[in-house]
Amino acid sequence: MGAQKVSKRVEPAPSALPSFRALFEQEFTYVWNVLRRLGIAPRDLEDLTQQVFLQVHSQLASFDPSRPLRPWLFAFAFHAASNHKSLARNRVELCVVAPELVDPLPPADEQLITRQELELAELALARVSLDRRALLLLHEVEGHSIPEIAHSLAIPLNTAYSRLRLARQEYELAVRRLRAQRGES
Amino acid sequence: MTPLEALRALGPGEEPPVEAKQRVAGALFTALDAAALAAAAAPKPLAPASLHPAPVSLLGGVAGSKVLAVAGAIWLMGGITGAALYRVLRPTEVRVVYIDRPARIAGSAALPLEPDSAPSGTPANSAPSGAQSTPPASGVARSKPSFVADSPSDLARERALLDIARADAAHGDPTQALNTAEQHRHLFPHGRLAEEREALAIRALLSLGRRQEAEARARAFRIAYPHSFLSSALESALLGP
Repeated sequence: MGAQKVSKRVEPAPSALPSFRALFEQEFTYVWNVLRRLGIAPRDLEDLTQQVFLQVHSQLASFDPSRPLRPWLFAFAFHAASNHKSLARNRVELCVVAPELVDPLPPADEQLITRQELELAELALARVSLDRRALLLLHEVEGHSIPEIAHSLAIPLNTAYSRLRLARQEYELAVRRLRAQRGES
Repeated sequence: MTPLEALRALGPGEEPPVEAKQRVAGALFTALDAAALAAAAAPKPLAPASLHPAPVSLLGGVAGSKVLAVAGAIWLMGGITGAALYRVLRPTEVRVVYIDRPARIAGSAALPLEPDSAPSGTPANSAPSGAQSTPPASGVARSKPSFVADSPSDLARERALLDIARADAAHGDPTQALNTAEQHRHLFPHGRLAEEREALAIRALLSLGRRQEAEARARAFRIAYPHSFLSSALESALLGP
């Protein structure tokens, strides 16, 4: 699966602590997309991304290079998004716009279905509560193990498993509702 | 494709706009550079003017305590030698008292000036060595109005205000950062940290999109602080989009 590939790609070399500049260049897109998928409005993405990297800079010395980098980065993004959304002015639920895929040729039927499915997945993901969405993103999308996720988010292992189970239910319910709204079976 | 399969197929996500990355990088590394410069240039914190006693060397304190305990034990047993040792080794008690003086602000007639002929042995000489702003004991110098609120406590207040403004800026709240900087400007128009305040205010104005005000204030900054170490960071910020 693609998620597995992503997971393997992000594993850092053991005992290789990246320089902050290299880390920024390498992981900017990742942090940006995590924040976007955690529901941060496009207008706030730049500020929040900068804020996350400032935090990362201040904590870089505490990073354990034997662990994967992205769950560690995800935790910063998750806390920044949580704090941001806890502010009254940011509590409005946002409409997630699925990314536009540029394709000059008319899409084949199969491609069209896949694209619709991906859009639906993005929209349903946006309806899952933030805590559970973090589990879905880290486990289902990125392919990290639950113990690694529990460590990164500083939650008990059983809580992580329970949260993932509830997240899947919430996500599948959101998919069903969206399909019903679209008149699909 | 099941819903979970669709979720797993989402992939890493879209590529953010190149200019967004450049903007974030510019702001981020400028802020980090400025913070590093400020940290390097920051003066060592002054010893607070308070009633805390001067710190005693830990080693000396522990060693002295042991000797005293041994001597005290011997004395308690009734030995004359013990009593003699105790008398010899008993430390002389020194009490150091620091006195907070109210800051003298320009035009503050309500604050009485101290008499010109201060009695000898006043605590002015026992003030912490870092308090360079303590005026000399000459009556002429004391009677001069000071336009800079420069007592250690004022400096601490200035620093606290700017710390708050800096934290507001770091938390992505330039409005509050600007408000705090303005509060500092109101309280300490010619404060010792005015240069840093102005730099913070300019960056906050830029973050708020008030470019014209930021540029006007930057011009004033260049005139007031032509050799400021914050200038290069400000210029970089002003060159941004």
